[in-house]
Amino acid sequence: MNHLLAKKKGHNGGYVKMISDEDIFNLPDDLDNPHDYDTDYKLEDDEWFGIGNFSEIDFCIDLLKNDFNSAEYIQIAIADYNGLKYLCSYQDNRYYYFQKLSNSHTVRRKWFSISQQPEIQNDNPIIILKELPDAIYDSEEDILYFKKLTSITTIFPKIGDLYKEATQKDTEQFLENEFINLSNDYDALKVKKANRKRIAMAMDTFNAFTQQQRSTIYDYIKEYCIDLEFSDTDKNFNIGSEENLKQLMYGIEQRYYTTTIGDEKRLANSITTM
Amino acid sequence: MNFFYRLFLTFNATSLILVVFLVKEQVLINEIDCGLVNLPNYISYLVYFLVPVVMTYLSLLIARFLSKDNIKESSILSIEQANNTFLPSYLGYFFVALSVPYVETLIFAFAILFIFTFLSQTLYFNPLFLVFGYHFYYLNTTNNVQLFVITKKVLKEPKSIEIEQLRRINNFTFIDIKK
Repeated sequence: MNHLLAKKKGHNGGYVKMISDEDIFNLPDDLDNPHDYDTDYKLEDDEWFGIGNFSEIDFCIDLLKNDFNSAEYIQIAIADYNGLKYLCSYQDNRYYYFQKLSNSHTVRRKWFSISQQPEIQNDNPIIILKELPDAIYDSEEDILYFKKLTSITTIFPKIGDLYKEATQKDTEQFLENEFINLSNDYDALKVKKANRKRIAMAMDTFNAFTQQQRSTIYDYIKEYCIDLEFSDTDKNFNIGSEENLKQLMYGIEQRYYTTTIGDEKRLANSITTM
Repeated sequence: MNFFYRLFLTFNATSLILVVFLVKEQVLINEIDCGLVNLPNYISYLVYFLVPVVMTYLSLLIARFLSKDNIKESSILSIEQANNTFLPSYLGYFFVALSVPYVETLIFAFAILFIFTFLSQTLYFNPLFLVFGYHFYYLNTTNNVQLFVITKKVLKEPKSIEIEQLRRINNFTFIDIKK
């Protein structure tokens, strides 16, 4: 039997039971070949990220580790609707479908159903179910599928750790590298979230380069980023803005390429190792 | 719906007090109509007794409209039979009914019992369920939650318990509607 639960907000917020014996979500048919999570990878429409052996990972929640028994959960009360965090639908004795709830999913407007004698509903707010859940956990295969990491961080609070983001210290250290010359009052404090993520990735890549490879990378970046000033005497790039830093990071990750036919210079928006 | 159903169940569980009181006071239905004057007393008593029986049967029919639940196989850790746990409280009910001298006292005592049975939530023990072949069990789940289940099945082996058609009377009490 299928059951829809909701998680209440707050530290002691437990799960409450909402509906039973209904199909809430349908299983997508494109779950085969999930892609390992990678910040640099942009999913195609029919692709999902997948995390295997999920129940053994730190940020797995107890609900997925314990036996499921709907009778253990208290029936939802009207007062509970004000503070719901997410929905979880347990279906076919195997799949857990998650949908994050935000204010946009609750419709508090006037509405009427499509029928021959429509009736205006005034004080009957409704909750909209999405066509695709935010995450799906397959308890038999022990895999968690999702499309957007940011939309499941409320469900699995620690999953954000998958996002590696450079700390202030890492950022400062990175900007002190010889090949970077800060200008225009730009410093580590001004580095925004997106660039911190890129630094976290590029740091490892860059440190793995030999001296020889580093010179090659400088030449490569000079070739593609004409806006980025390079001082031949000091052998460093002039970084004065977020944009400059972004170009440099993309360069270290070797995201620039030239098409074989047509010689068009391009930037790879998303990369994956073949 | 659920609130009224629970009121109904509470009434069914406690109504035997009224039956016992009527029997004790020897109130007969013979006086209602002159055609009934010659009926033996036990006919009246039987009629009184049948009222809670019929109402309990009705409550079992209504149960199918309650919110659904199920118990999956191997999600139960231990079983405790509870068929006899209602006896002490029922003996209490009967002694009250037999020793109450006036109708007013009965109404007062009944009202108090009714309220506490209703509020205690876990105590919808109605011995008439036994007449219809139901048994009472406390089931402990693998996640250490205790459930009170009313079912026709004879439960013995925790691992093999699987109940597909449970209905929720309240958050702790469930009834299995499958024959």
